[in-house]
Amino acid sequence: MPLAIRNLSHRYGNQVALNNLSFTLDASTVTALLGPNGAGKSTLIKILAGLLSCQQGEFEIAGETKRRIEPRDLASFGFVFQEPALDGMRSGLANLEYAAGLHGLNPSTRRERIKWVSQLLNLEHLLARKPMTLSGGERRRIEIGRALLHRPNWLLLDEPSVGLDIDSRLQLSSDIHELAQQEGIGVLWCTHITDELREEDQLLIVSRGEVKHRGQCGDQTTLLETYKGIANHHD
Amino acid sequence: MTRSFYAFQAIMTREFSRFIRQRTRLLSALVRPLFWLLVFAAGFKSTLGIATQAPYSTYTTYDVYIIPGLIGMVCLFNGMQSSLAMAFDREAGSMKVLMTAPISRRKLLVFKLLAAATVSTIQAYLMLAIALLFDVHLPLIGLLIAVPVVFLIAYALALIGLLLASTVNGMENFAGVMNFVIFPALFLSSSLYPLWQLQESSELLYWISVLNPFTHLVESVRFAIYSQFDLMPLLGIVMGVILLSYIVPLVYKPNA
Repeated sequence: MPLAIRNLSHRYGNQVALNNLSFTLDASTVTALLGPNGAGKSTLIKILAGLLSCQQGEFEIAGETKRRIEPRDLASFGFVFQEPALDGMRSGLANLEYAAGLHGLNPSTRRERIKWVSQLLNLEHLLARKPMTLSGGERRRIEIGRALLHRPNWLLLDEPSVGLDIDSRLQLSSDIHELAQQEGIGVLWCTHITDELREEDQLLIVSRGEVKHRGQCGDQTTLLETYKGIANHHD
Repeated sequence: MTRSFYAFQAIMTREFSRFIRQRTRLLSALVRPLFWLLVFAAGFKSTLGIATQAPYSTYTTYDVYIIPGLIGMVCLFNGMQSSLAMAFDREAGSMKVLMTAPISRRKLLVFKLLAAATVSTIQAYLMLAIALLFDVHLPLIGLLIAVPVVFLIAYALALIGLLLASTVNGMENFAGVMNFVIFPALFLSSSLYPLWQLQESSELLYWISVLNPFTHLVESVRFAIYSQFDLMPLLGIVMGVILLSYIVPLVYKPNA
């Protein structure tokens, strides 16, 4: 079932962050949300995470239309935020168990899901280690695993590849695309880095809080030209 | 209900794991009140005895008198420290993991406070155990009876800490505000000296201390240790906790 966002608007004082933003996120699809800094990408993710209240607009989640994200709606989403958010002093496994507990998973389901994400994202060898001893890419994989533990319908990624080296970024991209295909998850991927995207991915380019372009990513040259045209107007 | 239980369990496990892991935090939480008890109180024991006054049935030595104040001190410091940890989590981003759980924000914050209050209560009783080893005369049954009251004041102080963490932006600011709250709360209260003694020196300071909620938290513990319960202050504390529990989720900004 798709996630629909309709006419979403948000302001910080007089500054417009989102202006009548509407789009649909389909299952098994990676949708790239591209936009220059300040375009409203992080604001959108924070509203969907319930960290910011929705000032105007509505959502359609699992066939139900609503004006704000309720706590129970959060069970449908998995989030990976721009700033790494692992407890550096606890092992990868403890971090996963904590998140699974917060989502109300009982101990046996917890074990089963942790095993599942560990196999899916090749995390087994990382679980005993503390995040501070892991590379940026490894930490991100644990964060993605954590976001999947409760089997969300939609995975929302806010620039997850920032600060990663090329190999880690490409591995991350490959993992995300496989996840969308194999698990039927709809992925919203906020990014600045176009080479992580595939031609068949859906594309939304936002600027000043509005959708300026929607379609398929297509090849890199066309994608970059389209993006640059919009980004130049943003400045 | 079950979902909430597992979330509570996860929060408790994390809080306890922090408590065990941060040995210096535990050590400093114990050293501070024990310093007062074993150094300051020892020095003043012979000169600062307290004449008979409720709940004490006889003349009381100073080391016995300051025990409730030291319990309050442990709970106050730990309450502030757990709020500092929440402010740190918010800046580090890990608060988002908690706030995106499919449970109401009010419940999540209450779970965090219950965990913080449990840790404070354990620390307070560790301090009491050491005090007993040093021959401070306290009624053992009374100490057991006082557990719910100690837990209540630990919860109330953690709540006040959370209110501060909700309204103060930035770690540096919060650390500064912590000091601004802790020392007046402690010194302008009945934790280290009876208020009538303060009144003899300054009427103004006496009234400030009477109005200080920390005085009433400490006095509730003092009476509970001697198996006496003054219902009005306890009711006032419970009402205050309910009121703040309503306000804090409204002002708490997970994203600040």
